Amino acid sequence: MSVVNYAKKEIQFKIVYYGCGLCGKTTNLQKVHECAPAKAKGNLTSLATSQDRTLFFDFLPLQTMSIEGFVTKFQMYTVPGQVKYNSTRKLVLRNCDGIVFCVDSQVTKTQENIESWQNLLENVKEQKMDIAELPHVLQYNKRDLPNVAPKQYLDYVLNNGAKRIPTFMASAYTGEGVIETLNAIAKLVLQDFIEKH
Amino acid sequence: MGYALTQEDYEQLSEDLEDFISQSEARTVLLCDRGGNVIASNGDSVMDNIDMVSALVAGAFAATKQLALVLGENEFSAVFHQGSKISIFISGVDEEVLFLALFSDETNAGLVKMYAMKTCRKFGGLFKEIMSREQIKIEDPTQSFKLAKGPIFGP
Ligand SMILES: Nc1nc2c(ncn2[C@@H]2O[C@H](COP(=O)(O)OP(=O)(O)OP(=O)(O)O)[C@@H](O)[C@H]2O)c(=O)[nH]1
Ligand SMILES: [Mg+2]
Repeated sequence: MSVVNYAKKEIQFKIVYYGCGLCGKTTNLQKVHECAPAKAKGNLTSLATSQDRTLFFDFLPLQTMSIEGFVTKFQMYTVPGQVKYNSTRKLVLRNCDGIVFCVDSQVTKTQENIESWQNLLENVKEQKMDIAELPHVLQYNKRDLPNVAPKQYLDYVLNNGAKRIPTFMASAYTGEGVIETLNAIAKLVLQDFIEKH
Repeated sequence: MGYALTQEDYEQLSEDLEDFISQSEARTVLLCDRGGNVIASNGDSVMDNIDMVSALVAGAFAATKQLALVLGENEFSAVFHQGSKISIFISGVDEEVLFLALFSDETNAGLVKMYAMKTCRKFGGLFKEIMSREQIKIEDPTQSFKLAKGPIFGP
């Protein structure tokens, strides 16, 4: 849910990284934090367990000038991917403007990816949002690993709707594809905002 | 989806927050929404990490709300966290907006709470109006939102 402040000439958006446990959501934000220019980023906050699993969320504020005359803020979040944290995922999803669905490309993770996607659809619906109306992209992550499923296969199981979701090949670990994914979701969110205003 | 604050809204909010600070002797006050967006703030130690504070306040309040539900309460309408030098008071203004006051140990917590409740009640009406506006009107009709050129976050 975008917030426009005409007095401060500022617009805020919320983007959420979603996906199954260990698929690489937190690593994505860490890379973004590493790569973003100093003046564009705030601190990265992680509410995590002692084993570095996300417990509540990671949070990273980003700032750009992508709408003429307005400071554009993107508040970036990750959800905890572990199945048992569903109520927390719902809380983090609240009022979001765009979603990056991060996929663990390893063949063995196919079922978990599908379940997480179903879970996202349920949670979006429960919050009276419509996924068709909510900007989103798919990121096929961990492409640096040897045992990954081919892109066509992942498309077949996760991106088989009438309207194809934009997809990005990535390795959050090496950083490949991370900024491309971010640019793509930010652009969709901005276009969506401009269309609706 | 979304909402907008006009120049007028923002001035009204800022004025009320300033009144709150001077009456309650709190150090800082912050309004944010339950999704974690910053709405407005005032006070001496206006936090450097205001975005992060908003995200955490929204998270903490949401977690407390879940806890309340599990315990058979609809919502803990206000929450205190007491520290040795500073304390915070968080209260829900309405379904969408949260109010955070930060105050030092020299300030009377009861006073902060009383003025906070008063300010929250006042904001309730204002936000009801802000949130229910049909379409966000751009004040200057010749101006519309335009995408700046080039990649958003670099190549
Ligand atoms: N090889 C490889 N490893 C990755 C990649 N992305 C993440 N990892 C590793 O996968 C593990 C889990 O990554 P996280 O980013 O913590 O996963 P997450 O999705 O945040 O997990 P939860 O917080 O439990 O939901 C870590 O050891 C990462 O280093 C990648 O692209 N390639
Ligand atoms: Mg994580």
